[in-house]
Amino acid sequence: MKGWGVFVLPLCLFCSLANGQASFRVELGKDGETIADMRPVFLKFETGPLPAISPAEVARRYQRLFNTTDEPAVRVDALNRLTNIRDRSGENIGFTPAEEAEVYQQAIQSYESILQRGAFGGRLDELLYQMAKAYALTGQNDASAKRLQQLVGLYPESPLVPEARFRIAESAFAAGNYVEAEAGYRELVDGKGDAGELENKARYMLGWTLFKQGPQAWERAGRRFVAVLDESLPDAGSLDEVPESSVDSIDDTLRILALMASRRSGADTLINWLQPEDRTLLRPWTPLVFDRLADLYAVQGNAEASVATNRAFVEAFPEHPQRAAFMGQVVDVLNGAGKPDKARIAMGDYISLFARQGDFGSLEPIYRKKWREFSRFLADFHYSEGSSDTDTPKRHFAIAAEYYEGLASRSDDAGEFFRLAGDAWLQVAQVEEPSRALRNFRKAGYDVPQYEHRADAAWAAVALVRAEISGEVAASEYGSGLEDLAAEADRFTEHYASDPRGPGLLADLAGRWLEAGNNNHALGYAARAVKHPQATPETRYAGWVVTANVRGNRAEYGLSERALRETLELTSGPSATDAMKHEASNHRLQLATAIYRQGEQAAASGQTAIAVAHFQRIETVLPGSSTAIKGRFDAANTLLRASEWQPAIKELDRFRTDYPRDALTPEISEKLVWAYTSSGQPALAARELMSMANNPGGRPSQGQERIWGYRLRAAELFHTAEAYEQRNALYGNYLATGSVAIDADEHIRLQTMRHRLIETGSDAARWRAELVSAELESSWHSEQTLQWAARGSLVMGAEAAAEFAGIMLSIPLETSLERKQLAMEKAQTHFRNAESLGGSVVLPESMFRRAELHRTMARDLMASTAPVELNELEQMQYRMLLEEEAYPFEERAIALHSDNHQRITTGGFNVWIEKSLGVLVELHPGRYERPLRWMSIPTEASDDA
Amino acid sequence: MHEQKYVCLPALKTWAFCCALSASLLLGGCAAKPMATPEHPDPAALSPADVAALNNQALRLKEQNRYREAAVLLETGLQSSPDVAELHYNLGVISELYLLDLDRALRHYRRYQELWSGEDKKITGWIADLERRLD
Repeated sequence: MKGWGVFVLPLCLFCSLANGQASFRVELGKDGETIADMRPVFLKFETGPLPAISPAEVARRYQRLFNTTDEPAVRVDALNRLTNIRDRSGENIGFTPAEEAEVYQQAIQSYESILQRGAFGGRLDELLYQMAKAYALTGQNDASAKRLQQLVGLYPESPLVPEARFRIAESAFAAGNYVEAEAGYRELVDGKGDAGELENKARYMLGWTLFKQGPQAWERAGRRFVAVLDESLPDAGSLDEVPESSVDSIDDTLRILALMASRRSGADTLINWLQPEDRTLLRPWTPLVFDRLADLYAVQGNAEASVATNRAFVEAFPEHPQRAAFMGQVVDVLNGAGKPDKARIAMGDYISLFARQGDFGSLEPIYRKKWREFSRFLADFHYSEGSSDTDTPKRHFAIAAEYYEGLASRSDDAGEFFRLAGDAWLQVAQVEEPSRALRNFRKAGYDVPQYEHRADAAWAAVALVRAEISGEVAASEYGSGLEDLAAEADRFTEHYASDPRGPGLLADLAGRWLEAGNNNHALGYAARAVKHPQATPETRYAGWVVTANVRGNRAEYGLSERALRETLELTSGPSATDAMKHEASNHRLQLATAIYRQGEQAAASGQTAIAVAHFQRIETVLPGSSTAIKGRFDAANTLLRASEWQPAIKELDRFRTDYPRDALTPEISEKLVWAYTSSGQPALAARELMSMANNPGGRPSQGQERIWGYRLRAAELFHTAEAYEQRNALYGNYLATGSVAIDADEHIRLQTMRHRLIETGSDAARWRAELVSAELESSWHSEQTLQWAARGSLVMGAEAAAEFAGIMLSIPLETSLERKQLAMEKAQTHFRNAESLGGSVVLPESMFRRAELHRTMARDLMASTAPVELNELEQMQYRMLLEEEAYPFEERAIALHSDNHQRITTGGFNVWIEKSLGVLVELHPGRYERPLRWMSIPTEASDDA
Repeated sequence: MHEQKYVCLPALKTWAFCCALSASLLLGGCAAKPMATPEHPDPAALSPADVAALNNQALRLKEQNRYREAAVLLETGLQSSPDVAELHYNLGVISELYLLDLDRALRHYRRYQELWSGEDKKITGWIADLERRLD
């Protein structure tokens, strides 16, 4: 049967040979097809030791004695000795079989002769024994038994009785008289006498006699055989010291026990026969009988029963050191029976049985090896199943991972198994957690120095953490973060500094730190990536990109520029990838931005020249770009902020020339206006504004309001530049548009224009009249506009007063007087307007002028000539009437001057009050003419000095 | 108009005193009186020359439209020289025309009349006018 050799237990335990001894033995037959055909094995009967001379020489001498003597007793004795020598030495003593039969026949004759003569001088029991032996040797068993029975009956105390009884029982067994044989054997086993060495042989044969009696006697047979084994193998040491003569019988005993058990209840029967054995006091041969039973089942093709027997042993004796062998046999039997599924289960049981390190450590090397073989087989099997089984891949991968982990700790190739375990856990981790995979990869990568592929395993750990962070696998129980990946990367690069994957990892990590907003870490890893001796151009490129970004984030734009230049150099190098080349334009844009930022920083710190240089050199990096244009624009702005007006003006002009259509260009004019204004060139600023007003340029939507805005600003600048002609022209044009103030500012602006036109224009009266009129009509006023208007009214009043004074009262008086009164009214209206507009500021002058109007009227009335056609009396009457008409005017004049004089206590003294007082002195000297008196200082006769 | 054409040492002393007095009046107000110190002699000790200088200084202040200061200075002069008729006259004019203090003007015109040797009819007219206006 295939694999039969595997089932053979180490029977070498029984193979220690007995010392060489002479024996004579009786062959009782061999096994047949049925129980009736079965026979026990040979039984050897040992005697005393051989002489210390050559057995052949001794045999030759006894043979010559046997042939030469006629004395029966001598011949019998010689024959006995010859036989003894042959049996004990195992040597041929010179008789052929035929000669031997003849010799014993002659010996029988000698025995019978001696017996008949009754003259035998020796012991008769021995003679009977020898006769029985001779009969047996010559095939006369009945005669032999008869002599033996005589011996037992006549000499029960003879030391030859046990052997005689044994041979009698054997004879009965050989004759099929098993009950008789049982009785004979039992007498030896259970009798009072000492059967000596024959007792156990009798016990063995007793078992056989019971076995031969059929299944009804097997219960007793089993127990007898158990007793045989207990006697033969009493302790563990006896297994190593089994006499050669007992090997066969012990083996046969085991065989027959297994046979009987197999035909009853298998392992249960064995256990029953072994009872009441204390299981903690295990018989040394118990594994042998279970093994024989399992083997028997296997040979019979009953794999399930064989497996059950093996498992029964393990279950019954869970701590037995041989349980590994039994569990191993389970796997072998199932494999041999073509039941791989059950074989794998058995392998798993085997592995589990020795999962604990203590149990595994107690195994013999061969069984440890088997444990590893089973683990590897199952690990590979489940990994393969996981790869192909779409229903429960996790379960298979997890099982495989567990087996690989177990192997890793119990194998010289721990690294590989840790890596495989990690890989299997990783497969599981695609839907669960990767922490176990990570642990295994780390062990393979760092804890097994001799592992050839430890760098790959360590890299797998890195890849796993990275995948977890990226969400490519489920998050582990620890929830790996970027710090964990960094730690993993640090560990990898520290242990495998020359690994070419290191720099790429560092660059990747740098990018992740950058994305996470940790500039310090990003910069550190980027620097390590760039400086790594194994760094590829692509890796250095990635490192420089991160460096540039970090420097930019930190506003270290100079360093960012350097990194970007390194980046661009790599993108133009021979090793540049398509992706790198594709990004080159973006990096150039970043470079331009970095330079621009440097310009901003320099400008902010007041380094104008440096800032301008940065702004202007952007064109060398990215000519025509929006950044470059903005740089040029801000170069001019920087100069403006630094109040470097002329360079700023030059730069602004250059910008407008270079980029006439740029969106920033329309802003140039305003900046130029500012620069011109700030640099004391208001006329140029005004011209720029006029240009803005006249040339829409980039301001197509500007309306009249906007245009006039520019013009009015220009007018203001012309005013500053004292370019009054240009200013007045703009004011005139604007006022000519009929602009009406809609708010206070506009009113003030319009009044300001009029005021300035009055001051410098040629049509002052017109603008003065408009100014006064606008102020009187306006709801908004300022102190200044009020004063301007008040002053204007006074001027207008004065002009009207002059006109009034110029009207001569002549004949006809009514006409001239009417004109004069109208003129006076007009002047008074202006003066009252002035008072309402200017208040106390203009009131003294206004009151003075109004008073003077009345005094003038009174004087002119008095001075008017009477019509010549009147006679003297009439003329006198006419003059009296004039005086009456003039008097109220004079009184009014005095009253107004007096009121003006009274204001001295509230408004203080001023020139107009002084003038009124002067007039009052003239008009009313009695009250107002008060000359002060100076005193002369007398000269003293003697000077103290 | 009576202008001073020459200046003697006592006049200089009075002028310096008047300047200091004017300054103190400006700073301390009209009611304040100067303290007698070596630099600012007690008005009681003014000599006639000093009184004349003070009067003229008061008139110069009036020319500068500094009427209140002029009146204060004249009052000061009157403290030491209450019987100097010119001081009363000038103080009356300044009070009437420039301070519009008619009562005060009337009082000093009357005192002037008392001190003046012989009646000044023009002044009598002024007093009558004032009395009428005050009634």
